[in-house]
Amino acid sequence: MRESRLWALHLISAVALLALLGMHMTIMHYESVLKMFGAASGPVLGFASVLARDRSTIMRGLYVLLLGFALYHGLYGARGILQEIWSSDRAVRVISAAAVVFGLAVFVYGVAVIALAGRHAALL
Amino acid sequence: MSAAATTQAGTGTPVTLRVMRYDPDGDGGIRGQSWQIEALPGMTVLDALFAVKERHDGSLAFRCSCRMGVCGSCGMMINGKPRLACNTQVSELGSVVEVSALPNHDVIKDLVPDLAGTLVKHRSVRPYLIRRDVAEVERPTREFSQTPREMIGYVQFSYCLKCSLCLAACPTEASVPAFLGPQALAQAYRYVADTRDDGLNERAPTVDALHGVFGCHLAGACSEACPKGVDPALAIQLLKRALVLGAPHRAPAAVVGALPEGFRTPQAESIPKAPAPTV
Repeated sequence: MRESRLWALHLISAVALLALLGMHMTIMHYESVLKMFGAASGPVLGFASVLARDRSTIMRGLYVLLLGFALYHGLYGARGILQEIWSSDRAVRVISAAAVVFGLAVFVYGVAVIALAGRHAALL
Repeated sequence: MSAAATTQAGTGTPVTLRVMRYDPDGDGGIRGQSWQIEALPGMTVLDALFAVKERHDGSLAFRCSCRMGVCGSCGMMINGKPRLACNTQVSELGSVVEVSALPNHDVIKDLVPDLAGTLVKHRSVRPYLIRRDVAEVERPTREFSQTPREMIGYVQFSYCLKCSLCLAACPTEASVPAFLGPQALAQAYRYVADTRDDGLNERAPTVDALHGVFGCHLAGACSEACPKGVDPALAIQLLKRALVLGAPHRAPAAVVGALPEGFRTPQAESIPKAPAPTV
């Protein structure tokens, strides 16, 4: 794929991360902000709250998106840094392939964990 | 190590000119050599180097041609900054002027950098008009017209002298030799932004790469160093945008059609032959 498309996706993932991390921080760590808007729903770290989020298809979808965008954004940046240190054609190919394999492996593992958590939560 | 001499008795300001020298036939090391010169009003660093060469050391090597900031031959590091020697007044530099060859380049001798790498990178971006009407390019019948407004879109980037000062200033070039560099990338955008050009896709394999536009760290040192105000850093960002969103001129370059009936082309048989010589 052309580098400009990878770079454009890097920018898109940055914007998506701003939104997704903003939501994560607001829901998980800034309960006082939710209280200001009258949207606080009790202790977010409580077992019942965690189960409720795991049962929610929307929340599981957001977890997958956050995982995918964060992985892509981080690995694209790491690849750029590594390819400046080792800039031969062979090294560039090896680094790109390693980033793809590592990213896919972690993404598949993360999606499996999210799906299993959802299934277990539905049984409880 | 150091030879001190006075260029001439005069009324100018005494200035120490220190040159970092390299002799390829010597021991391979770099050595500093200093001379005292009288800096007269209007004297450039190139004038000072000529004064030393004429009066003290004829072996001092530097490159120059036009002496008026047009040819880009006399690029060198002057007091830590890449500049054109013919465009830099000695009076601006204080009592000590330190001169060395451009960094990020091999040195041929003394202050003469090897610009072969710069020119290879420049050629790799195909710095010429690439058009669909190849026949017209090969055997043109008339000009490729363009409005002054269309020319403004790229004219700033066409002032490049190929002096290589931007490459000498570039921190990425210093650490990643594979990086195409600001000069070549700015020239790629100069042609991509030209309404007579259709070559974005042809140039993409070279510039749309990690060591192409995406290798730029946006230090901006190239734009600061450029003696002609080309602003290569801006060109690189505009080239990134062009690679993602397409060339700034959305319509493809207009194809030059057949000439109207009655017009002659240089190849037309209707052009009368020159008369036979009378002498």
